[in-house]
Amino acid sequence: VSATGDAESSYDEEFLAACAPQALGPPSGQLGAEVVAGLYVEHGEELRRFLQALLRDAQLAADCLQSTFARLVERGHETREGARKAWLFRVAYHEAMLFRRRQAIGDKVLRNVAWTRDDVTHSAEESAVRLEAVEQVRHALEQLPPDHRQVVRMRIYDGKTFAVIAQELNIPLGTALGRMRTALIKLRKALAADETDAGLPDE
Amino acid sequence: MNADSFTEPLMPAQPISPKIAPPDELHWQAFCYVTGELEVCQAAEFEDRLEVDQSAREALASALETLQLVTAAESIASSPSSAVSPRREPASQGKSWYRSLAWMSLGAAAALLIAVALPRFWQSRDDEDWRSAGLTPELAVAWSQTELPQPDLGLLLPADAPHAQHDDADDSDDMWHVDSRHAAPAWMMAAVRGLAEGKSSEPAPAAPATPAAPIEMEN
Repeated sequence: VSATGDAESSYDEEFLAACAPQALGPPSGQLGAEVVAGLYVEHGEELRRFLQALLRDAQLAADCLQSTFARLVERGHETREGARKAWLFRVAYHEAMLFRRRQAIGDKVLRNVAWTRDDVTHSAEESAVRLEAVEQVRHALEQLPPDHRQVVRMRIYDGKTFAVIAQELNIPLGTALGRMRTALIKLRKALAADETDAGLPDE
Repeated sequence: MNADSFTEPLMPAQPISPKIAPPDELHWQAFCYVTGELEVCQAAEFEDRLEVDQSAREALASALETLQLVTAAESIASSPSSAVSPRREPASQGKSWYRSLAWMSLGAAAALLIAVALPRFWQSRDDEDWRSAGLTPELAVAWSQTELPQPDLGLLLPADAPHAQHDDADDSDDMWHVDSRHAAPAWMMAAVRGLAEGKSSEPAPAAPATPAAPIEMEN
Protein backbone atom coordinates (compact mmCIF):
# COMPACT_ATOMS: atom_id res chain seq x y z
CA VAL A 1 0.00 0.00 0.00
CA SER A 2 2.77 2.36 0.95
CA ALA A 3 4.58 1.66 -2.28
CA THR A 4 1.44 2.44 -4.23
CA GLY A 5 0.87 5.54 -2.14
CA ASP A 6 4.42 6.71 -2.72
CA ALA A 7 4.08 6.06 -6.40
CA GLU A 8 0.83 7.96 -6.48
CA SER A 9 2.17 10.89 -4.50
CA SER A 10 5.19 11.11 -6.75
CA TYR A 11 2.83 10.94 -9.68
CA ASP A 12 0.78 13.75 -8.17
CA GLU A 13 3.91 15.85 -7.83
CA GLU A 14 4.72 15.05 -11.41
CA PHE A 15 1.21 16.03 -12.37
CA LEU A 16 1.42 19.31 -10.51
CA ALA A 17 4.69 19.98 -12.21
CA ALA A 18 2.99 19.30 -15.51
CA CYS A 19 0.31 21.79 -14.62
CA ALA A 20 2.90 24.43 -13.98
CA PRO A 21 3.00 26.74 -16.94
CA GLN A 22 6.08 26.60 -19.07
CA ALA A 23 6.21 30.38 -19.39
CA LEU A 24 5.26 31.90 -16.12
CA GLY A 25 3.85 35.35 -16.11
CA PRO A 26 2.89 37.49 -13.18
CA PRO A 27 -0.18 36.05 -11.47
CA SER A 28 -2.99 38.43 -12.08
CA GLY A 29 -5.94 36.47 -10.72
CA GLN A 30 -7.99 33.71 -12.28
CA LEU A 31 -9.14 33.64 -15.86
CA GLY A 32 -12.45 35.27 -16.58
CA ALA A 33 -15.51 33.11 -17.16
CA GLU A 34 -15.72 34.30 -20.76
CA VAL A 35 -12.15 33.21 -21.46
CA VAL A 36 -12.72 29.77 -19.93
CA ALA A 37 -15.99 29.35 -21.82
CA GLY A 38 -14.33 30.41 -25.04
CA LEU A 39 -11.54 27.89 -24.56
CA TYR A 40 -14.10 25.19 -23.87
CA VAL A 41 -16.02 25.99 -27.03
CA GLU A 42 -12.83 26.07 -29.06
CA HIS A 43 -11.03 23.01 -27.72
CA GLY A 44 -13.51 21.10 -25.55
CA GLU A 45 -14.67 18.66 -28.20
CA GLU A 46 -11.16 17.84 -29.43
CA LEU A 47 -9.98 17.40 -25.85
CA ARG A 48 -12.91 15.09 -25.13
CA ARG A 49 -12.00 12.89 -28.10
CA PHE A 50 -8.36 12.86 -27.04
CA LEU A 51 -9.34 11.78 -23.54
CA GLN A 52 -11.75 9.16 -24.82
CA ALA A 53 -9.02 7.70 -26.97
CA LEU A 54 -6.81 7.46 -23.88
CA LEU A 55 -9.44 6.18 -21.47
CA ARG A 56 -11.77 4.19 -23.78
CA ASP A 57 -14.73 5.41 -21.78
CA ALA A 58 -16.96 8.37 -22.57
CA GLN A 59 -18.00 8.97 -18.96
CA LEU A 60 -14.44 8.86 -17.65
CA ALA A 61 -13.41 11.18 -20.45
CA ALA A 62 -16.13 13.64 -19.46
CA ASP A 63 -15.00 13.56 -15.82
CA CYS A 64 -11.42 14.03 -16.86
CA LEU A 65 -12.35 16.93 -19.12
CA GLN A 66 -14.08 18.59 -16.21
CA SER A 67 -10.98 18.18 -14.04
CA THR A 68 -8.88 19.66 -16.81
CA PHE A 69 -10.99 22.78 -17.00
CA ALA A 70 -11.01 23.02 -13.21
CA ARG A 71 -7.21 23.20 -13.45
CA LEU A 72 -7.60 25.86 -16.10
CA VAL A 73 -9.71 27.96 -13.75
CA GLU A 74 -7.15 27.50 -10.97
CA ARG A 75 -3.95 28.09 -12.89
CA GLY A 76 -4.84 29.11 -16.40
CA HIS A 77 -4.05 32.74 -15.72
CA GLU A 78 -0.38 31.79 -15.38
CA THR A 79 -0.23 30.60 -19.00
CA ARG A 80 0.44 32.55 -22.15
CA GLU A 81 -2.59 33.05 -24.32
CA GLY A 82 -1.04 31.40 -27.37
CA ALA A 83 0.10 28.33 -25.45
CA ARG A 84 -3.19 27.52 -23.76
CA LYS A 85 -4.28 24.81 -26.17
CA ALA A 86 -1.08 22.81 -25.72
CA TRP A 87 -1.25 23.44 -21.96
CA LEU A 88 -4.82 22.10 -21.85
CA PHE A 89 -3.85 18.94 -23.76
CA ARG A 90 -0.88 18.41 -21.50
CA VAL A 91 -2.96 18.75 -18.37
CA ALA A 92 -5.64 16.52 -19.88
CA TYR A 93 -3.05 13.87 -20.67
CA HIS A 94 -1.77 13.86 -17.08
CA GLU A 95 -5.32 13.84 -15.71
CA ALA A 96 -6.09 10.82 -17.89
CA MET A 97 -2.97 8.98 -16.73
CA LEU A 98 -3.96 9.74 -13.15
CA PHE A 99 -7.47 8.38 -13.76
CA ARG A 100 -6.01 5.25 -15.30
CA ARG A 101 -3.71 4.66 -12.35
CA ARG A 102 -6.44 5.28 -9.79
CA GLN A 103 -8.98 3.11 -11.59
CA ALA A 104 -6.40 0.46 -12.43
CA ILE A 105 -7.21 0.52 -16.10
CA GLY A 106 -4.84 -1.98 -17.60
CA ASP A 107 -3.82 -2.85 -21.10
CA LYS A 108 -6.75 -5.24 -21.48
CA VAL A 109 -9.20 -2.42 -20.95
CA LEU A 110 -7.30 -0.34 -23.45
CA ARG A 111 -8.06 -2.98 -26.02
CA ASN A 112 -11.72 -2.00 -25.72
CA VAL A 113 -13.37 -0.36 -28.64
CA ALA A 114 -13.37 3.36 -28.05
CA TRP A 115 -15.35 4.68 -30.96
CA THR A 116 -18.53 2.72 -31.51
CA ARG A 117 -20.59 4.70 -29.05
CA ASP A 118 -20.69 8.45 -28.90
CA ASP A 119 -22.48 8.93 -25.59
CA VAL A 120 -22.09 12.66 -25.44
CA THR A 121 -25.26 14.67 -25.88
CA HIS A 122 -24.77 17.29 -28.57
CA SER A 123 -26.62 20.53 -29.00
CA ALA A 124 -28.81 21.01 -32.04
CA GLU A 125 -26.11 23.00 -33.79
CA GLU A 126 -23.43 20.43 -32.98
CA SER A 127 -25.72 17.64 -34.15
CA ALA A 128 -26.31 19.41 -37.44
CA VAL A 129 -22.56 19.89 -37.93
CA ARG A 130 -21.95 16.29 -37.02
CA LEU A 131 -24.63 15.07 -39.40
CA GLU A 132 -23.00 17.06 -42.15
CA ALA A 133 -19.62 15.50 -41.33
CA VAL A 134 -21.13 12.01 -41.37
CA GLU A 135 -22.63 12.71 -44.76
CA GLN A 136 -19.25 13.96 -45.97
CA VAL A 137 -17.56 10.79 -44.79
CA ARG A 138 -20.26 8.65 -46.33
CA HIS A 139 -19.69 10.39 -49.63
CA ALA A 140 -15.91 9.89 -49.29
CA LEU A 141 -16.45 6.20 -48.52
CA GLU A 142 -18.48 5.83 -51.69
CA GLN A 143 -15.59 7.27 -53.65
CA LEU A 144 -13.21 4.60 -52.35
CA PRO A 145 -12.42 1.52 -54.42
CA PRO A 146 -14.67 -1.35 -53.33
CA ASP A 147 -11.80 -3.45 -51.97
CA HIS A 148 -10.59 -0.51 -49.88
CA ARG A 149 -14.02 0.20 -48.58
CA GLN A 150 -14.45 -3.45 -47.71
CA VAL A 151 -11.37 -3.38 -45.50
CA VAL A 152 -12.50 -0.14 -43.85
CA ARG A 153 -15.88 -1.58 -43.11
CA MET A 154 -14.53 -4.87 -41.78
CA ARG A 155 -12.02 -3.13 -39.52
CA ILE A 156 -14.03 -0.22 -38.20
CA TYR A 157 -17.65 -1.27 -38.42
CA ASP A 158 -17.32 -5.02 -37.91
CA GLY A 159 -14.38 -4.69 -35.50
CA LYS A 160 -12.25 -7.40 -37.07
CA THR A 161 -8.49 -7.37 -36.72
CA PHE A 162 -6.31 -6.94 -39.79
CA ALA A 163 -5.14 -10.53 -39.44
CA VAL A 164 -8.70 -11.81 -39.60
CA ILE A 165 -9.51 -9.50 -42.48
CA ALA A 166 -6.49 -10.73 -44.43
CA GLN A 167 -7.47 -14.30 -43.79
CA GLU A 168 -11.11 -13.84 -44.73
CA LEU A 169 -10.32 -11.92 -47.89
CA ASN A 170 -7.43 -14.22 -48.69
CA ILE A 171 -5.00 -11.35 -49.14
CA PRO A 172 -1.58 -10.67 -47.59
CA LEU A 173 -1.60 -8.80 -44.29
CA GLY A 174 0.44 -5.95 -45.79
CA THR A 175 -2.19 -5.49 -48.49
CA ALA A 176 -4.96 -5.19 -45.91
CA LEU A 177 -2.91 -2.67 -43.94
CA GLY A 178 -2.06 -0.70 -47.07
CA ARG A 179 -5.68 -0.48 -48.16
CA MET A 180 -6.65 0.77 -44.74
CA ARG A 181 -3.94 3.41 -44.65
CA THR A 182 -4.78 4.68 -48.11
CA ALA A 183 -8.46 4.82 -47.26
CA LEU A 184 -7.75 6.76 -44.05
CA ILE A 185 -5.61 9.30 -45.90
CA LYS A 186 -8.41 9.87 -48.43
CA LEU A 187 -11.02 10.17 -45.71
CA ARG A 188 -8.94 12.64 -43.75
CA LYS A 189 -8.33 14.71 -46.86
CA ALA A 190 -12.04 14.74 -47.59
CA LEU A 191 -12.76 15.96 -44.07
CA ALA A 192 -9.99 18.54 -44.20
CA ALA A 193 -11.31 19.84 -47.53
CA ASP A 194 -14.73 20.12 -45.99
CA GLU A 195 -13.35 22.12 -43.07
CA THR A 196 -11.44 24.40 -45.46
CA ASP A 197 -14.61 24.99 -47.48
CA ALA A 198 -16.52 25.76 -44.29
CA GLY A 199 -13.87 28.29 -43.31
CA LEU A 200 -14.09 30.19 -46.56
CA PRO A 201 -16.29 33.31 -46.57
CA ASP A 202 -19.42 33.17 -48.67
CA GLU A 203 -19.26 35.11 -51.89
CA MET B 1 -5.20 -21.53 -36.94
CA ASN B 2 -8.52 -20.14 -35.82
CA ALA B 3 -8.86 -16.67 -37.26
CA ASP B 4 -11.17 -15.40 -34.51
CA SER B 5 -8.69 -16.23 -31.79
CA PHE B 6 -5.94 -14.34 -33.53
CA THR B 7 -5.97 -11.00 -31.79
CA GLU B 8 -2.30 -10.24 -31.64
CA PRO B 9 -1.79 -6.54 -32.25
CA LEU B 10 -0.08 -5.61 -35.44
CA MET B 11 2.09 -2.64 -36.15
CA PRO B 12 4.48 -2.89 -39.03
CA ALA B 13 7.93 -1.69 -38.15
CA GLN B 14 8.27 -0.05 -41.54
CA PRO B 15 5.68 2.00 -43.37
CA ILE B 16 3.64 -0.02 -45.82
CA SER B 17 4.38 2.32 -48.68
CA PRO B 18 7.38 4.57 -49.05
CA LYS B 19 5.10 7.26 -50.54
CA ILE B 20 3.42 7.85 -47.16
CA ALA B 21 4.51 11.12 -45.59
CA PRO B 22 5.52 11.43 -41.90
CA PRO B 23 2.30 13.24 -40.85
CA ASP B 24 0.33 10.36 -42.28
CA GLU B 25 2.60 8.00 -40.41
CA LEU B 26 1.69 9.79 -37.19
CA HIS B 27 -2.02 9.53 -37.97
CA TRP B 28 -1.59 5.87 -38.82
CA GLN B 29 0.13 5.28 -35.51
CA ALA B 30 -2.67 7.10 -33.70
CA PHE B 31 -5.23 4.98 -35.53
CA CYS B 32 -3.43 1.79 -34.55
CA TYR B 33 -3.26 3.01 -30.94
CA VAL B 34 -6.98 3.69 -30.76
CA THR B 35 -7.92 0.42 -32.41
CA GLY B 36 -5.61 -1.55 -30.13
CA GLU B 37 -3.40 -2.77 -32.93
CA LEU B 38 -0.16 -1.71 -31.23
CA GLU B 39 2.00 -3.94 -29.11
CA VAL B 40 2.14 -3.01 -25.42
CA CYS B 41 5.62 -1.54 -25.74
CA GLN B 42 4.63 0.36 -28.88
CA ALA B 43 1.55 1.73 -27.11
CA ALA B 44 3.73 2.84 -24.18
CA GLU B 45 6.08 4.58 -26.58
CA PHE B 46 3.21 6.36 -28.24
CA GLU B 47 1.85 7.46 -24.85
CA ASP B 48 5.27 8.86 -23.95
CA ARG B 49 5.15 10.82 -27.16
CA LEU B 50 1.68 12.10 -26.28
CA GLU B 51 3.09 13.72 -23.16
CA VAL B 52 5.32 16.06 -25.13
CA ASP B 53 4.06 16.15 -28.70
CA GLN B 54 1.00 18.28 -29.38
CA SER B 55 0.72 17.04 -32.97
CA ALA B 56 0.49 13.46 -31.68
CA ARG B 57 -2.30 14.49 -29.28
CA GLU B 58 -4.21 16.15 -32.09
CA ALA B 59 -3.64 13.14 -34.33
CA LEU B 60 -5.11 10.90 -31.65
CA ALA B 61 -8.20 13.07 -31.31
CA SER B 62 -8.52 13.14 -35.09
CA ALA B 63 -8.22 9.36 -35.33
CA LEU B 64 -11.07 8.88 -32.89
CA GLU B 65 -13.20 11.38 -34.77
CA THR B 66 -12.58 9.58 -38.05
CA LEU B 67 -13.48 6.24 -36.48
CA GLN B 68 -16.70 7.61 -35.03
CA LEU B 69 -17.72 9.26 -38.29
CA VAL B 70 -16.98 6.17 -40.36
CA THR B 71 -18.96 4.03 -37.92
CA ALA B 72 -21.91 6.42 -38.14
CA ALA B 73 -21.70 6.59 -41.93
CA GLU B 74 -21.46 2.81 -42.29
CA SER B 75 -24.37 2.27 -39.92
CA ILE B 76 -26.48 4.61 -42.05
CA ALA B 77 -25.39 2.88 -45.23
CA SER B 78 -25.96 -0.61 -43.85
CA SER B 79 -29.44 -0.01 -42.50
CA PRO B 80 -31.88 0.81 -45.32
CA SER B 81 -34.66 0.77 -42.75
CA SER B 82 -33.23 3.98 -41.32
CA ALA B 83 -34.16 5.73 -44.54
CA VAL B 84 -37.67 4.36 -44.28
CA SER B 85 -38.16 5.21 -40.64
CA PRO B 86 -38.82 8.94 -41.18
CA ARG B 87 -41.68 7.95 -43.43
CA ARG B 88 -42.95 5.55 -40.82
CA GLU B 89 -43.02 8.19 -38.15
CA PRO B 90 -45.95 10.24 -39.50
CA ALA B 91 -47.90 7.02 -40.01
CA SER B 92 -47.37 5.99 -36.42
CA GLN B 93 -48.22 9.51 -35.31
CA GLY B 94 -51.42 9.38 -37.36
CA LYS B 95 -52.26 6.03 -35.87
CA SER B 96 -51.82 7.32 -32.35
CA TRP B 97 -53.93 10.36 -33.25
CA TYR B 98 -56.76 8.14 -34.48
CA ARG B 99 -56.44 6.04 -31.38
CA SER B 100 -56.74 9.04 -29.07
CA LEU B 101 -59.70 10.32 -31.10
CA ALA B 102 -61.40 6.94 -30.73
CA TRP B 103 -60.86 6.97 -26.98
CA MET B 104 -62.21 10.51 -26.72
CA SER B 105 -65.32 9.56 -28.72
CA LEU B 106 -65.86 6.52 -26.56
CA GLY B 107 -65.57 8.64 -23.42
CA ALA B 108 -68.02 11.24 -24.72
CA ALA B 109 -70.54 8.54 -25.65
CA ALA B 110 -70.25 6.95 -22.22
CA ALA B 111 -70.78 10.32 -20.52
CA LEU B 112 -73.87 11.01 -22.67
CA LEU B 113 -75.28 7.58 -21.89
CA ILE B 114 -74.83 8.12 -18.17
CA ALA B 115 -76.38 11.59 -18.37
CA VAL B 116 -79.50 10.20 -20.09
CA ALA B 117 -79.88 6.92 -18.25
CA LEU B 118 -79.19 7.98 -14.67
CA PRO B 119 -82.27 10.24 -14.14
CA ARG B 120 -84.49 7.58 -15.66
CA PHE B 121 -82.98 5.00 -13.41
CA TRP B 122 -83.67 7.06 -10.30
CA GLN B 123 -87.23 7.79 -11.52
CA SER B 124 -87.92 4.09 -11.92
CA ARG B 125 -86.46 3.42 -8.48
CA ASP B 126 -88.78 6.04 -6.94
CA ASP B 127 -91.76 4.44 -8.67
CA GLU B 128 -90.73 1.08 -7.35
CA ASP B 129 -90.53 2.49 -3.81
CA TRP B 130 -94.03 3.92 -4.09
CA ARG B 131 -95.41 0.66 -5.40
CA SER B 132 -93.68 -1.42 -2.78
CA ALA B 133 -95.35 0.81 -0.15
CA GLY B 134 -98.78 0.12 -1.69
CA LEU B 135 -99.04 3.62 -3.08
CA THR B 136 -99.04 5.05 -6.52
CA PRO B 137 -97.61 8.31 -7.75
CA GLU B 138 -101.13 9.46 -8.57
CA LEU B 139 -102.16 9.00 -4.97
CA ALA B 140 -99.20 11.02 -3.78
CA VAL B 141 -100.16 13.84 -6.10
CA ALA B 142 -103.76 13.77 -4.94
CA TRP B 143 -102.63 13.78 -1.32
CA SER B 144 -100.45 16.78 -1.84
CA GLN B 145 -103.31 18.64 -3.46
CA THR B 146 -105.84 18.08 -0.65
CA GLU B 147 -106.92 21.24 1.13
CA LEU B 148 -106.66 21.01 4.88
CA PRO B 149 -109.43 22.56 6.99
CA GLN B 150 -108.84 26.03 8.34
CA PRO B 151 -108.01 25.86 12.05
CA ASP B 152 -109.91 27.96 14.51
CA LEU B 153 -107.31 30.35 15.77
CA GLY B 154 -109.60 31.51 18.48
CA LEU B 155 -108.87 28.32 20.30
CA LEU B 156 -105.19 29.04 20.40
CA LEU B 157 -105.38 32.61 21.50
CA PRO B 158 -106.58 34.02 24.78
CA ALA B 159 -109.95 35.72 24.67
CA ASP B 160 -108.62 39.12 25.61
CA ALA B 161 -105.80 39.07 23.09
CA PRO B 162 -105.99 42.02 20.83
CA HIS B 163 -105.93 39.82 17.74
CA ALA B 164 -108.46 37.33 19.01
CA GLN B 165 -111.11 38.68 16.75
CA HIS B 166 -109.93 37.78 13.31
CA ASP B 167 -110.41 40.55 10.92
CA ASP B 168 -110.22 39.80 7.23
CA ALA B 169 -109.51 43.38 6.48
CA ASP B 170 -106.26 43.21 8.44
CA ASP B 171 -105.00 40.07 6.74
CA SER B 172 -102.29 41.79 4.90
CA ASP B 173 -100.52 43.22 7.92
CA ASP B 174 -101.60 40.82 10.60
CA MET B 175 -98.59 39.03 11.97
CA TRP B 176 -100.81 36.48 13.68
CA HIS B 177 -102.43 35.47 10.47
CA VAL B 178 -101.80 31.85 9.64
CA ASP B 179 -101.89 30.75 6.07
CA SER B 180 -104.21 27.81 5.52
CA ARG B 181 -101.44 25.96 3.69
CA HIS B 182 -99.36 26.03 6.84
CA ALA B 183 -102.22 25.38 9.26
CA ALA B 184 -101.96 22.49 11.66
CA PRO B 185 -104.11 19.47 10.83
CA ALA B 186 -107.41 18.94 12.57
CA TRP B 187 -106.21 15.97 14.64
CA MET B 188 -103.48 18.09 16.07
CA MET B 189 -105.92 20.82 16.99
CA ALA B 190 -108.14 18.26 18.69
CA ALA B 191 -105.18 16.90 20.61
CA VAL B 192 -104.16 20.36 21.73
CA ARG B 193 -107.68 21.13 22.75
CA GLY B 194 -107.92 17.90 24.77
CA LEU B 195 -104.62 18.70 26.40
CA ALA B 196 -105.85 22.15 27.35
CA GLU B 197 -108.99 20.73 28.89
CA GLY B 198 -107.06 18.11 30.80
CA LYS B 199 -104.76 20.76 32.17
CA SER B 200 -107.64 22.81 33.46
CA SER B 201 -109.11 19.78 35.26
CA GLU B 202 -105.89 19.09 37.02
CA PRO B 203 -105.70 20.21 40.61
CA ALA B 204 -104.17 23.57 41.06
CA PRO B 205 -100.71 23.52 42.46
CA ALA B 206 -100.26 24.40 46.08
CA ALA B 207 -100.28 28.14 46.67
CA PRO B 208 -96.95 29.46 47.64
CA ALA B 209 -96.51 30.60 51.21
CA THR B 210 -97.73 34.12 51.64
CA PRO B 211 -95.02 36.40 52.69
CA ALA B 212 -95.20 37.86 56.16
CA ALA B 213 -96.88 41.18 56.49
CA PRO B 214 -94.42 43.93 56.42
CA ILE B 215 -93.53 45.19 59.81
CA GLU B 216 -94.28 48.74 60.14
CA MET B 217 -91.58 50.53 61.91
CA GLU B 218 -92.58 53.06 64.41
CA ASN B 219 -91.01 56.24 64.13
